[in-house]
Amino acid sequence: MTKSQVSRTRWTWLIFPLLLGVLLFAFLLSISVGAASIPLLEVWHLVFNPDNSTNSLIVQTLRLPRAVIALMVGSSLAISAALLQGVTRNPLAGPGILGVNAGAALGILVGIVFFPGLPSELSILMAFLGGVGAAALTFGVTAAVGITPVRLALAGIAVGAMLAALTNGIQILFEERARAAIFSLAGSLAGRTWDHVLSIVPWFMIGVLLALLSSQLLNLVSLGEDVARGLGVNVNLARFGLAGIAVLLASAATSVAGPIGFLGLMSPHLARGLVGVDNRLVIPMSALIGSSILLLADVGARVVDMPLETPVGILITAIGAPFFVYLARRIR
Amino acid sequence: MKLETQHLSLGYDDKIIVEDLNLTLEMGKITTIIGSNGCGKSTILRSIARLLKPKMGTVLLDGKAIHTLPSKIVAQQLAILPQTPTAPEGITVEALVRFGRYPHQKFLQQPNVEDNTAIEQALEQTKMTEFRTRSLETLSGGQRQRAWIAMSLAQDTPILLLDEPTTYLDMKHQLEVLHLLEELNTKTGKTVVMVLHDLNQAARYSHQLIAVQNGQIMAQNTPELVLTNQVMRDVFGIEAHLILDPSNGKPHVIPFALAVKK
Repeated sequence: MTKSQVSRTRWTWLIFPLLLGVLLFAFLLSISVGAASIPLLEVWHLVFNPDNSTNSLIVQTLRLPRAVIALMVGSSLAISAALLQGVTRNPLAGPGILGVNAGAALGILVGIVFFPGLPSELSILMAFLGGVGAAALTFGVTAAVGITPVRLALAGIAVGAMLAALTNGIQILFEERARAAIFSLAGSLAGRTWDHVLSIVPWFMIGVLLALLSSQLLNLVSLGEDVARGLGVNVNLARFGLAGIAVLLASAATSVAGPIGFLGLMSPHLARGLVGVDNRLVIPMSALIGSSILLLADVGARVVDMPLETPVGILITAIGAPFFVYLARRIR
Repeated sequence: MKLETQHLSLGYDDKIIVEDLNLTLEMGKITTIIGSNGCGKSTILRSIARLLKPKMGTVLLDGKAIHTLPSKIVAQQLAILPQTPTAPEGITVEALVRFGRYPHQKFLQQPNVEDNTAIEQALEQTKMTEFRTRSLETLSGGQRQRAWIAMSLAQDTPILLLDEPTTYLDMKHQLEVLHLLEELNTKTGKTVVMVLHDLNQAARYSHQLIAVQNGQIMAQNTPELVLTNQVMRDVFGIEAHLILDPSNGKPHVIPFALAVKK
């Protein structure tokens, strides 16, 4: 093994615990900050040893589930984007950009407004159908004119805007019924409970596990259709599978947090800056980065206009949109 | 090992490019498909590599239809280097070459001794060992092409297909690539089938040429027998002097006029 390989390996081993530390800090900070400020040390204690104090109640019923949601939503969107960027070989891809989040939100709203009898566990399914539909629409529109990275992104943004408009329309026309879907439409993490956590935990687990298991396949697919096929990969099946996992994760995230754009897009780029292009490292690193950013942004959402809360999606967009412009300018 | 096509018809959408092609490739030799632009030579190579599904007919690898064989099994017998492949930005030469072992690995299997030996050999044969930790975009065009060939070599297949492996390379790097392929053929007996534009290079490095026009094989034989005035006229539309290269006795084409259409 040569020298530079050794140092790269060492650096990688160092960077994972480091980011895990950042994530832990962000997690505890997000439990500590709010209308009632709880010191970090007390947070650490109360997370593991709940007592009868008011602070304990706040931590256990309000802040802890909210932080867990941020952790899952952030890593889901980041992994989803890493998968989509690899499958489409497009650095501008992400569940927000391609319209998947907007489709998932619309799917949930349609389920709640038009099929009120539907059990709530099935709302993820509606989100998934909406997400798949949006992705198919984006790809269909682009394929008709020839796929390039920027065209795919433009089509995705257009599809996303159209679906969001549709969502708004349904929301206005069916104001009463749409209220039940508020958590899936807001782009915020406020008021999330353990029920929300439980509703996405299984999908989150399945999605993350499948993403990690298929990370080498993603590496192969990102070499391009011909090379991957020449190496013995069933490219069409692989693309469908990987995109399916991406939509599943984005749908689960959207069902509890509403559409949050740009977070997914950013995270894999930052991850590749730290660990290189191997998706076996990029996927877990994206998850660490995406969840850390969302946790910290959610802290920001609470303090930026105290005592009012700003939807965290707006804060993320404020950072993410300039990043998107930077990326779009870099590729040709 | 045997590689042939039977009644092969190829095309895109409803456009037919190749019709009823019957072709047997000689094993252990270097075969080059030549022809003018759009004659279907790349299309034929891509279908032999199962990158393109035939409209009709079959490609047979050892008597079995290649498009129905498991893709990974095919990839253990036959490697294909497509025209101007692109890799994700930042990927290192060694990481790229490692992908060549994919057809030999089981799901989630760690690389074993055999894998590592094949990778070292591939790097050595292509003289890329010293560049192994460099990322692809920092290399020259010739080095980059050698890295891709190294990936195909790591695949450790008896057959290697290459679609215009010298495109966009300057003269020195073109010869470097062709020389490497010749060496691989003589030393390891690897079957090489490629598409080339340059007739003189094709003549110099191939045991056999296949001249293609309008998706049909006009001639398949040794360079001496394929490169005739008649073929120059019919297939390439040129008049040419055919002389023997003094350094190796292979035919050399010197075009001097456009052929007059009858």
